[in-house]
Amino acid sequence: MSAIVELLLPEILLCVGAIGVLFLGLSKEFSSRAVVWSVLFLAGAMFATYKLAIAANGDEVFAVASLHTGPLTHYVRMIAFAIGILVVLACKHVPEAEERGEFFSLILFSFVGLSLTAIANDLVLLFLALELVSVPTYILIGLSRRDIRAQEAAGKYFFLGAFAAALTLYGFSFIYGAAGTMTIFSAGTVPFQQGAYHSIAEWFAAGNVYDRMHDPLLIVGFMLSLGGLAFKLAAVPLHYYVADVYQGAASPITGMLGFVPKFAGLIAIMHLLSIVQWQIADSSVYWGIWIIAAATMTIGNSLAFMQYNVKRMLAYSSVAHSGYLLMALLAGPGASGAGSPLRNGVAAMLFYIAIYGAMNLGAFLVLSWFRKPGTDDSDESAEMLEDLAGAARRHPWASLALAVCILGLMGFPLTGGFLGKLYIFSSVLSATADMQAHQTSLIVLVVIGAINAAVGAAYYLRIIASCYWREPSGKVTTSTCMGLRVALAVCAIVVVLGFAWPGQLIRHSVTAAKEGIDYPRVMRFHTADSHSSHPAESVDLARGRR
Amino acid sequence: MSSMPLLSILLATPVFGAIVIFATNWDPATIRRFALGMSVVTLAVAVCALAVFMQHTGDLSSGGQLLTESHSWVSSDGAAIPLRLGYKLGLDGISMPLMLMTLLLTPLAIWASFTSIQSRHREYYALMLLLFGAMLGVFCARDLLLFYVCFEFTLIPLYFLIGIWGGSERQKAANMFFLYTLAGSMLTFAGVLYLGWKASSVVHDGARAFTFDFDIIYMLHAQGGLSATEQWWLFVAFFAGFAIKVPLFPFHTWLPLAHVEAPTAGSVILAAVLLKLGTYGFLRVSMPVFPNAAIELGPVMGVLAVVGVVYGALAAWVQTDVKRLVAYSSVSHLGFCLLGMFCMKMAGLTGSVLYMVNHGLSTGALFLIVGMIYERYHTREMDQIGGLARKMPIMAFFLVFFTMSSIGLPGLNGFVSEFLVLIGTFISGRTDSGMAGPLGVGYAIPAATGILLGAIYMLYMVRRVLFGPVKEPGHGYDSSGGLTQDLTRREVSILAPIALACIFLGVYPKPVIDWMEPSLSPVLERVANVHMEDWHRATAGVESDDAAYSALAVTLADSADRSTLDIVRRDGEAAPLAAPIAIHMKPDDSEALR
Repeated sequence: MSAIVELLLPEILLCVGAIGVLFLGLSKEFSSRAVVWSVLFLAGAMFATYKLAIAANGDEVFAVASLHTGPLTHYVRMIAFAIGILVVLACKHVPEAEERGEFFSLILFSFVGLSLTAIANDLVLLFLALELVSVPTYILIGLSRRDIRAQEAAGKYFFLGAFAAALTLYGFSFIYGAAGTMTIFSAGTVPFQQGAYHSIAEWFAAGNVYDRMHDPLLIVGFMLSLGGLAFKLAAVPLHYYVADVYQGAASPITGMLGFVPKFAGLIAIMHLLSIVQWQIADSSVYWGIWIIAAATMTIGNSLAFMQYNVKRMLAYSSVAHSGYLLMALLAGPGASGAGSPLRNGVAAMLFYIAIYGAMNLGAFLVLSWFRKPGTDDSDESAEMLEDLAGAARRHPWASLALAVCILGLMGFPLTGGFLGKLYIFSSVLSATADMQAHQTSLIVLVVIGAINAAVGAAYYLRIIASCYWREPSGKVTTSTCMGLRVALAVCAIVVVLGFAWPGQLIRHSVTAAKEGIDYPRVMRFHTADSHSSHPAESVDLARGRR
Repeated sequence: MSSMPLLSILLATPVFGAIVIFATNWDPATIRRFALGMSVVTLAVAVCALAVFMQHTGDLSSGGQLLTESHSWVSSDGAAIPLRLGYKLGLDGISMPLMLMTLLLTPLAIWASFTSIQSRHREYYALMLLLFGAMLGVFCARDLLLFYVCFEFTLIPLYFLIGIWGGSERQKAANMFFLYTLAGSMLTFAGVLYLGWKASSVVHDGARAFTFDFDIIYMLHAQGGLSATEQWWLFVAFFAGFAIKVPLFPFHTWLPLAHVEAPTAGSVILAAVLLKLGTYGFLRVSMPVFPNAAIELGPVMGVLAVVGVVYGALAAWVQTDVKRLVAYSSVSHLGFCLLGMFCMKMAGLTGSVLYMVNHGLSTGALFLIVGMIYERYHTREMDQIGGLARKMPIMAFFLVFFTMSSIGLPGLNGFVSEFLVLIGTFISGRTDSGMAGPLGVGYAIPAATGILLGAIYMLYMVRRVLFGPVKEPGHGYDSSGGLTQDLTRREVSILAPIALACIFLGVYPKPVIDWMEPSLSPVLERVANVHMEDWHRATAGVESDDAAYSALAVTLADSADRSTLDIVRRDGEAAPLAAPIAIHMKPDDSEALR
């Protein structure tokens, strides 16, 4: 097997699966084969990832210049495919019989895009991977419901997405202009020649940090790509679409929308920041992210507070969560204590997004599990607070699952969401040690985050209150879909286990976060070697790595 | 010591009971019996724990704990600073009395709900047991994060208890209670994290770790890990959570509403235990970890406490709803607790902890009685009921008894603690027994008027409810739940144990005080050390004794605007260690001072 095939085995497997599932859709029979096969392929991809991770033994592999795998890739793949299985199971009842093939095929493609974001070592490939994440979701939204609102949502999402993609690409072009190469990191086996850099990271490392961080081309490139990626994260200023789009799509797809593009966007931002070795402290990029994070949290929570439609409320809550996650990225990996997510913002982010994926999906799945009569003769998922009224009396377990997921989003103890918030806030506090100049602003950010968490509680509570306090209304029924029920149960259990037994997930997130910190140092090693300017440092780093 | 993980069993029993109740589909009678059974089993476990505790009370000296358990929860190695989040339990003389109070009152509160709760039994009793477990967890926790987790988790069951089984305005009350408390504790959360981060600078057993272990956090101050500014801000952050929970004036606005709307058992637990979590937090975290800030902000706390005492009493006086009256009396009483704490004298601290227990007993019982009246007449308005002593003599006996306990009749529990708190506040400014506390007579006198006011409003309430012409709402008493006109045997058996505990603590509080003192003295020492440090700081970095003397001399000479004698005396008072130095000062140095 050629190295590149081996490297991309999970993705290749999934692409084959996606095409195969597409063909399954040709069958006229109404069956759940598409679901079964999608799950099997995702599980197969997880298994392949597992094998690859064992074989790689924590090393990073460059197959060709534009592909790169390491612990981060494995982590992203595992989390993505696991959530993927839940999404597929939960979507079993969503598509019309004649669209089953396309529907599940598109879901698989979107997840391939997500894992490729982590593999891409080239700005163009990174952009393509990001688009592979988003393009299937445009269609999925439209396919997921017959409602006119779904068509509206798909349209809105598509046009804004195209705009944001253009913005990102424009930003990437500036970065290319600055560095003269598209490759993000290089393996460093080829000797360095003056003037021609193998990768952007090499270009960055070759110069003085201050000069580089004040290179106008790089800053403009960063700001534009961050702006574009804000769309993927549903972060301010590109958060306007969220409520309409999330409301328009079928609930399980909404759950997926809250996770997949967000994760992809965060990884892309992570790539960008590790190019500059997370040295953003004295540049406008720091303030850019600071403002986006603070505004995203605050605006997301304030808008969610005004909603009475649970789907819209959760949509804005997902905006708020982007703010928390960006906060963790702002903290960065931390110079001193990379070993624990309490001090390492990247690890905290990776931990939180995994838990967030489960609790966000779980919340939407409960909505999907409660059915109410739709506009035409079909039924649709519960949306308004009234639809949930008194659900706890009739469906105690589903309500408990909803309560667990909502408490998780609130960041309440005994859920993984609490640990996630704990790690994020504490990594930002720890970052004050590394960024002396920003001590006050980081602490202010944590206080803003804490206040936001309290504001968030106010509207999350409304959901729980409606579920447990009100008198039941007669109209709501429940779904009979077994897949949905399983996915829902798994989500709720994961949220609780994320608190009770988080050891494995934390360990892997820490290992994964190390990669993002380490590979810029490889670059420094090779460039330093050729310049022989810092021999002592380069030896240290080389020893530290292998 | 016993190797059984008694405290873990203690915490797990009610939680297990809650899960069983939620998962099964029993009829209400079975659920009630099972819930009561589980809470009694918990009490039995606690009695075992108490037996072990009593055997080893000698180990309590100098801040020791008993029945400790420690397990790793989240840990990661391989980095410069490994992560160690622990599950660490233990009891000391501060937590044990509070825990026993919780253990006594919760089963009684569950028993008291038998007739008052008419719907959704399964959820009600599951939540009560869950709340029980969380409250015990707060008192057992020896890890700041575990403490915070349990502290926060108590909100959820009570939120539902108020919101589902409460009075007419229950939803507003529950939301206000939850959001108010949560808003405060989110800031506390940021403070907890900051402390954990700071704790990673403490070297313990030759290594550093990111941990929230109380033992390590307590070392922070001794090792100079927290600057005065940091302490100030952290104190404020923890204050946000604890003061709202207590509730300290002016953060008490959620309390009357929550109390009035909560079901009886909810009110009992809220008043008796949940409010104590705030005061307990001040004693467990704020004072020992931020002693500089505690001294600096002591007068502020004192003023808020005194205002709370007087304001709560005055507000209680004008209430017409009995339950609201008792709720405001809690605001007043909790002010005393904080006053005792921040006078920084052993008498005050002991009194304060004892006050927490006593307030739990007497106010809990008062809420129970109010609930019993309400079950019969469906009103709590003093305009609508009166002269009940003739109709309900047993109830009248208990109401008078607990009123006396609440206003501090000598011989009953309230007196001991009120007396100790006031003594502590009076002597706070004096220096003959160590260092001077931040409070003094100026605080004690207005606080003492709170006792007078307390007697007025409580007796006023008793007079209107029990004596005078009989006044009943038109419909007479409600006998639907098997209730009789006067208290039933069940209700008497609920109130009697509390009454016995009140008498015991009033007549012979010595064993409990003996537990407390060894655990409280380290807290006090830390605060006292702050004054010592003032002197140490003056001589910082100076090696030899001669140099130290001259450094002191320089410091003193620097403050030339004050008379030297005055300064020497001040230092001598503040720190016993400084006194001999001042006396043994060499003649030539003393010359230099002049």
